[in-house]
Amino acid sequence: MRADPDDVTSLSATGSVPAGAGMFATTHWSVVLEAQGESSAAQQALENLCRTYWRPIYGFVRREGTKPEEAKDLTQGFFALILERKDFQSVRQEKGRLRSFLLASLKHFMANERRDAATIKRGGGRTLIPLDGITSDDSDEFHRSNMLSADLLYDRRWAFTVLDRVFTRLREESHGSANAPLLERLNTLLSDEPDRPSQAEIAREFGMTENAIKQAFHRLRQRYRQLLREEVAHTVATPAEIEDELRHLITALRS
Amino acid sequence: MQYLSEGNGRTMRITTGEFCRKCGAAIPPNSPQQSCGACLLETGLGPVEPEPEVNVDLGSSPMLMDFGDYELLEQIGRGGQGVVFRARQKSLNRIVAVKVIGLGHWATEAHLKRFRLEAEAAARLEHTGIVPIHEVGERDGSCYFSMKFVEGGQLDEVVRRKPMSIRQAAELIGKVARIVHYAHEHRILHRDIKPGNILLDAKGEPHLTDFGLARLVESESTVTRTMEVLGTPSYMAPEQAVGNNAAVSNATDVYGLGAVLYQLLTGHPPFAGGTTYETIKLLEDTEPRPPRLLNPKVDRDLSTICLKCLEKDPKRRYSSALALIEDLKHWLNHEPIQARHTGIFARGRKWVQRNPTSAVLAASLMALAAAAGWIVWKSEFIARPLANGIAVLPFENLSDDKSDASFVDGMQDDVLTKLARIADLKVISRTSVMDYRGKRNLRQIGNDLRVSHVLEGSVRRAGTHLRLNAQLIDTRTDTHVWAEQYDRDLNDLFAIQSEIAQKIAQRLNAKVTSAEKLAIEGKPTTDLVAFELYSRSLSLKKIPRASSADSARQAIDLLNQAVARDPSFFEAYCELAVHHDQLYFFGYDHTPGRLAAAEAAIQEAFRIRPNAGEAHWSRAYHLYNGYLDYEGALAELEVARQTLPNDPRIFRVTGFIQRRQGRWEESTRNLERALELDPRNVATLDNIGDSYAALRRYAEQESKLDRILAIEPNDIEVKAKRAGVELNWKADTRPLHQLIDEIRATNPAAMPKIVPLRLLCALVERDAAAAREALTASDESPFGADAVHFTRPFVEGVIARMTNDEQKAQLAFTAARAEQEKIVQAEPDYGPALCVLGVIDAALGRKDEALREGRRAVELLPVEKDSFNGALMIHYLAMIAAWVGEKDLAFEQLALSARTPNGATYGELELDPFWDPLRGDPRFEKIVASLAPR
Repeated sequence: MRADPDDVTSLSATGSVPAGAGMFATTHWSVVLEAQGESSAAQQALENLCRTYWRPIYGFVRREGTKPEEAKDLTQGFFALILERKDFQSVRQEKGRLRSFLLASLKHFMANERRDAATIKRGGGRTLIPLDGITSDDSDEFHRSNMLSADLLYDRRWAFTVLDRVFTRLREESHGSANAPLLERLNTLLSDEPDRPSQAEIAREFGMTENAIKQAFHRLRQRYRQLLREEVAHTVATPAEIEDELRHLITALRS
Repeated sequence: MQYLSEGNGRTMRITTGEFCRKCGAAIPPNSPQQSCGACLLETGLGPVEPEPEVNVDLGSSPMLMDFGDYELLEQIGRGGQGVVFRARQKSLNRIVAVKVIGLGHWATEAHLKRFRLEAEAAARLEHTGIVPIHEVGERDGSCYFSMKFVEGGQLDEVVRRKPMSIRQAAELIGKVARIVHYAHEHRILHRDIKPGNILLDAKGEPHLTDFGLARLVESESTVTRTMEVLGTPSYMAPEQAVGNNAAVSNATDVYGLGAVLYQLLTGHPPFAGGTTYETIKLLEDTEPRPPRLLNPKVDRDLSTICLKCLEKDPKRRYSSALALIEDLKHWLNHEPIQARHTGIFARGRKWVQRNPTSAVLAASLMALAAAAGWIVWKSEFIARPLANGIAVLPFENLSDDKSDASFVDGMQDDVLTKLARIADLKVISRTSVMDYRGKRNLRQIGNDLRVSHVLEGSVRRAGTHLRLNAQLIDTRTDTHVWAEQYDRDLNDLFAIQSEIAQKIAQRLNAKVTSAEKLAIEGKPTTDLVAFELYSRSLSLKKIPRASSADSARQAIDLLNQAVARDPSFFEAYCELAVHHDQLYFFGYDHTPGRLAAAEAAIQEAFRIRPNAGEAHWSRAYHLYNGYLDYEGALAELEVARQTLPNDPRIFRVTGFIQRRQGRWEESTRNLERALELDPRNVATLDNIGDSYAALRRYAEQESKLDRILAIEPNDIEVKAKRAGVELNWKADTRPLHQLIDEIRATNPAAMPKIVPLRLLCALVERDAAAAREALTASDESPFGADAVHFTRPFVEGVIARMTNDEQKAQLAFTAARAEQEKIVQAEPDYGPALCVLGVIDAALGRKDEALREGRRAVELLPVEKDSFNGALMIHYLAMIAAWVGEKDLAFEQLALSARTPNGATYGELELDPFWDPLRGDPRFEKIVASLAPR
């Protein structure tokens, strides 16, 4: 089972979930949606999803003008609320997408609950969601006079989170393979920009035939597409929505 | 660095200074891979295609002939996993076989290591039936292994050339089982037994290859398992398919043996869906059809042996290959076998449910199944390659006379039809392209319809002069492949169209047989007015659902005019027959006169072109709709399919017939194929949805309905239907109720469209006022399901009874009875009509008559004859019995209905007032509980 650095709780807490398969099943939004009443699998799923997609939430909170420390507290408080609220019935009414569900809930939270100071400490001080890797770079995005609206910023950060996950997984998959350096190079070709080093150049660099590079890149691109779809699938209710969600994210990035 | 300066003296860094060279957008500093995020996502949107062919054209490419220590001599086979070559090993100067595997992603060191271990372990086995592996390696990005070269062929190919007898099949499987048993004794599993892995040498002796190859792609995380890597899942055991590697055991190999035996006995694998996803769903949810049903020559004992191997629960299979060998030996010696026959209903339950568990484990298993289901969903995107597919978009009408519109459409239809005759091309059916009229985004269209090319055209007609511009465009690159302008006389119309079709075929490198060429060059008619009339009748089918009675009658009128003008207008006769048959079948004019009209049209068609596919198609449709002659229709469809390879109607109707016969899996497969040729065909989607509904697979029905809504977001009836699914499935009326409220508020003009569902909603909510409101809003067309129609007076009676107005109820039911009696007199042997009479009589308290009529209806139309309507006969007999107080009969029939596809649903039983007479009885509650959603 691949090591997930964010994995705090042990999966064995949920019972005899088979290794590997259980890990996958618990990050599926539709599992949450399917859950009727209490379900530890759904609970775990939602928690894992929150752990992955905290950045856009944090970004939104900061965009509202809160300072970093307060924003962290609010983010934790928000997730604590989401995870405590086991009422998945209402979750299911919200058709389909985790992204919109979280945003809608967050707006509600920012409008109403944040005033209640008790909410902020709701997590009991426990760090439920590790908010790692907040850099000073982020700060500039949040300045209020930035032209991007809060919603748009949220969607863009969401898109970046998805892409980051996909590339992390690609890297993990090639870890230990003799071809890892080659794949790292080929990753840069994925955005289809015409100016990047050509396949012929890479072939020379690695002492392989161009045909082999072509095959390798083709396979990489297919794998990338599969992983991207999987990653998006984790956050929508049905496979039919994947393309639409991707297009939405593209539009957000192009705005 | 780029900076944005603000008025208050602050500056803000917004980009790294980099811009995307593809789209020009600025690349922000925290972008993944320092690449343009939007372009990355767009790359991600592209189709997930299978590996491009390892192009081994040995003549031209010396580089590929040389494969390290091996000189590849010739390609001798290919399977889902890779290509096999006969090769010369240079270092030892011997002939070997080399299998090069195309993996969907990199195999890591760990994979290779595991496979090597397995291969080495297998190499230690010495058995004439096991093909030894020499070397395992990786080269140029591909995995390969070399093995002993066995002169012979793969089992499936050999059998195709020379089919084997049943006895021979049993003997062969016995031999293969002996090989497998030997391996098991040395604690080695094969894990991937299928016909492709069994080679037969010149003497017909079997050799088993690819031992342990499945290990190469196995991993702890089912996420990285892609079905395309393992080839077809049709022979895979359920525990493998769901990725439960811990459960793989000797019994898994026994399953594989059973699957191959099944293939040899019936010519089909035990499960085969149109897509990988379908296959795995079938594998999980359904039992294999007993071989005896597919091949009557197979006797009961051998059938039982085969099915025992294919049990979903490994513990129920033969405990070892040896046990299988023993039973096969008994059978070959005409002795009794060990395996026990089980009845039809005993095998119904999903194997997961055999092990009742604590709630947590059950949830995990469900999640596991969901995960497995999801993983394979991905394969839906790995469908067929885009190459050699074309969509003929609607032509643009540039004529001054806008009434030429249907004529221009007729031209497009003709070109499309001509192209569709070419088996070597995939041509999207008309229904699916019509939506793209005027749309420009060809890459999108190409993606949506999964075709590599589109044909666009514009037509300008002025008097007798015709100008046609046609262009063939590659959607992947948005470039023109061919373009031509034709300035001709109108009479050359059909010559132009066949020229275009042939040019396109040439450009797409499609093989056109001489028979196809002849067909393409044929002209539909020489009379242009007749052609116009015909085109108009086609445009009436623009309403994509099954044609309503009105549009069918109009079309018939137009077509009659057309053939009056040109008595040798073949296509018009074929269309005529179809419309007549539809009026008959859907009960709008279920009379012998209507049947005869259809027959007459078909006769004419055969007279004009005795061998044409469409004539056979029309006959098939007629045999099905007119006489429920399933076998006859299927035979005609088979003939039609030879010359009409791209015609979705053939696959669709084959699917319809098969499901009426109760052959649900095959039916769905054919319907899915029809959908592939016609992806936007709402009628097909709706019908597949109906199949799922009948099977009570509601989630899948909803997904199909969602697809329809993606194509036609404002289709109120489909929205209502979808809301209705929740009612059937979970007895949840809220979605339906909400939808009705919404429509009432925002689009009241649409209320009449959803009267049947409004009525249902009102009934189950016991709201007489709402029911009355619904009834007044309707037109005269009756309510009901499939061929069972209830009329207004009947519903009035029901509403009256809800408000305890017994006098009014009696009046209404009596009126209904009078109407229905006339219908029954006209067609005394028509089950559905008699069934309705029975229900009315039950409402009137006429017990003996009602029971007689209900029973007779079931006799007249049993499930074997028509699975949809047959189920309804049983269902309504249960209702009749309930209403007249015959409880035992009611429960007997209701229990049956609950087990039958298209029978009772949970929501109906829970909520429908019609079942009130049975409520409270524990027998009723038991049946309801059996249908409750899990």
